[in-house]
Amino acid sequence: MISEEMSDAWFAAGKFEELAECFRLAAQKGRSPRAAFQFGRGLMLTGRVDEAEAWFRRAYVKRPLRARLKGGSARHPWTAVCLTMLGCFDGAALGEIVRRGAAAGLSPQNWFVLALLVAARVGTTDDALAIVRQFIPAAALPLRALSLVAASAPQGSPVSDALVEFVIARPFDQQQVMLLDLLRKPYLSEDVATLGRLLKIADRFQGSKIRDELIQLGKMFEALPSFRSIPIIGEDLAAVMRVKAMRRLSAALGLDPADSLDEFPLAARLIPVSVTAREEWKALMAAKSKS
Amino acid sequence: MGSIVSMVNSPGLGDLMEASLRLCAMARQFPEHQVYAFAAPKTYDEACSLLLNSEIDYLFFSDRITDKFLAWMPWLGGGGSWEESWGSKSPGLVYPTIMVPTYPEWNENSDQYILSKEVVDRTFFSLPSEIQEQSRRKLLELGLDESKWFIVLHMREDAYRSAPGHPRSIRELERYFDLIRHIVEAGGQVVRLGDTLMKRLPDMPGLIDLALVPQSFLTQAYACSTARFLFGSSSSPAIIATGFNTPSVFANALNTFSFLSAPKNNIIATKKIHMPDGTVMRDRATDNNIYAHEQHWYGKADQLEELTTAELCELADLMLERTCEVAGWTFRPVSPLPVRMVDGKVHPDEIARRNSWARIYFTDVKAELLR
Repeated sequence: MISEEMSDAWFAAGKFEELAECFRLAAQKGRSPRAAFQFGRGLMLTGRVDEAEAWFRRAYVKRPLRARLKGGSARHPWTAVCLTMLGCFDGAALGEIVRRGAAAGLSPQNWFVLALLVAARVGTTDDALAIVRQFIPAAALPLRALSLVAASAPQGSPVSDALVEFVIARPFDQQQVMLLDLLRKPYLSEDVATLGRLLKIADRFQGSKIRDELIQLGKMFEALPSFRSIPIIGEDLAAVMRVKAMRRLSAALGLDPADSLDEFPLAARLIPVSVTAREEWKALMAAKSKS
Repeated sequence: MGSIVSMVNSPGLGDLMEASLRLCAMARQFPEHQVYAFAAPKTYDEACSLLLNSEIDYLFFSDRITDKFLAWMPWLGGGGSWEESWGSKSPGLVYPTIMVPTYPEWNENSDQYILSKEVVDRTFFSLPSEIQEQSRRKLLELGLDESKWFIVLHMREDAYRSAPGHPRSIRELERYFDLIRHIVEAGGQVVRLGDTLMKRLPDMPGLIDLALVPQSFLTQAYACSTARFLFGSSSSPAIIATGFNTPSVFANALNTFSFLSAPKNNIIATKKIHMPDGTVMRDRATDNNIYAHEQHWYGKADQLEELTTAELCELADLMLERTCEVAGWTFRPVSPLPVRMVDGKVHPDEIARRNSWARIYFTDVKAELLR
């Protein structure tokens, strides 16, 4: 059995997959309702909301007899947490959920899972973000949690502001490392929108070479939609610009550019511009597709 | 069919457009050739500016990682760095910035002349028809009246490109407010050009502020092409106007930049340059004078005196006089090719046209009127 302290330490280390998997066996054997709850929490952290609900319910139904008695949750604090989580599935109001969470004295891990649940089932991303901001010290949020926050909302939403707060709350020497780590996942999945959003954070860093490079890269990603909107040449131009930005980012992240893109066919484009050239190009492409 | 392969790159938007205009002017001399332009635009505006050059058949964009790939291209020769291949090993590649005319009849032979002579009263730039239509609709949506003429106004604001106190910038924007009212009172409309970082002007009837409309470069270029004239300064719109043969005023100008790109009917009105001996130098006196170059005034821009509101309005009146035939929006089709004689030489009329160009200065025109 893994203690709650150990589980929180894993959360702080960003080991979300491990948090899900290490409780699986104990939960599936059915002997420990607490393990079932912890397994459900791990599932939440890895994005499996429906499965998590089933395990939360199972854990709560099988809670120890003492926990069912008045004041019993003091002996089994996870049951109060589980009840709070279940409130999200059972239509409880946001205010009530937050009140229950505060009464249960949730740990940063539990607050974060509750925020994920609120975003998924109760309210909006903004509501979830408000919970994170209010109840979790910025420095206690692991990098993986920040990645989830980063991927959760469109540009310009309060999430972007919150991310800046979370990263800037770290000591100076950790900020850049944290941002570079945050960038890896969207880089590998070619999530250009998230990259653009994250790179904006570098604006708040103290001056350094990497800061300037990240700001420059942010501008490149940010400019892609406007390049794409240019008539006639926009699509091709944006494709080349994207490759260029991804390649530069790969250098900043210490990753191989080939990890995210097969750039060679994309990095150079011949674009027909004049009416004659466009017709010529069309005929050429038609002939090529026939052959 | 031959090919013209050209590199169109430059550090700033104005320089890039000037290079593009040179290429356009040159390519017009070889209508049977296909034009390939190698470009690496850094900004949205730079990318859009390439669409003004109707002579470009193919654009080639690439990331620099493909240097090796480029080196394999037949016209670049083998191996070596990008610059090496393009510069020394590929004499067939045209650099618009160093292009020179080859007409023996020309009485001078400077690398700048392909632009300053060739563009005299000629329209080279042209927007693709679909962009023209889109831009026209956009201007109408913004409230521009199609039944009335309009001018385009560009004031290179201070702190443009994060360089405050730039000698070519204009700090006394308020002096232009009465100019706008003056144009509107004369029956016209004013379209301001620029970028979204510019200051918001006070609401004035007859003023359409395109500068603050994001991603409006092509609409601005269209406005410049159809305007009665450009009221500009030493900045990129001067090149757009030159390419479209739109008459222009270069007010508060500095540098030879605007002088060389001035078509025949433009008026140049420089800033008033306070000389060390206490005299004030302006307009014609700035010709070939080191004090008329921006480099001399870096960090000392406050010593350059800008034109007064009365002078700006006077300039506008002179331009209205020179363009009195314009009643509404003006469409300026691309000029016909130069007329060559059977021996291949350019027609004398054509030579005369090119050599008829001379700079026109505000104070000279005023003095002439007084005589």
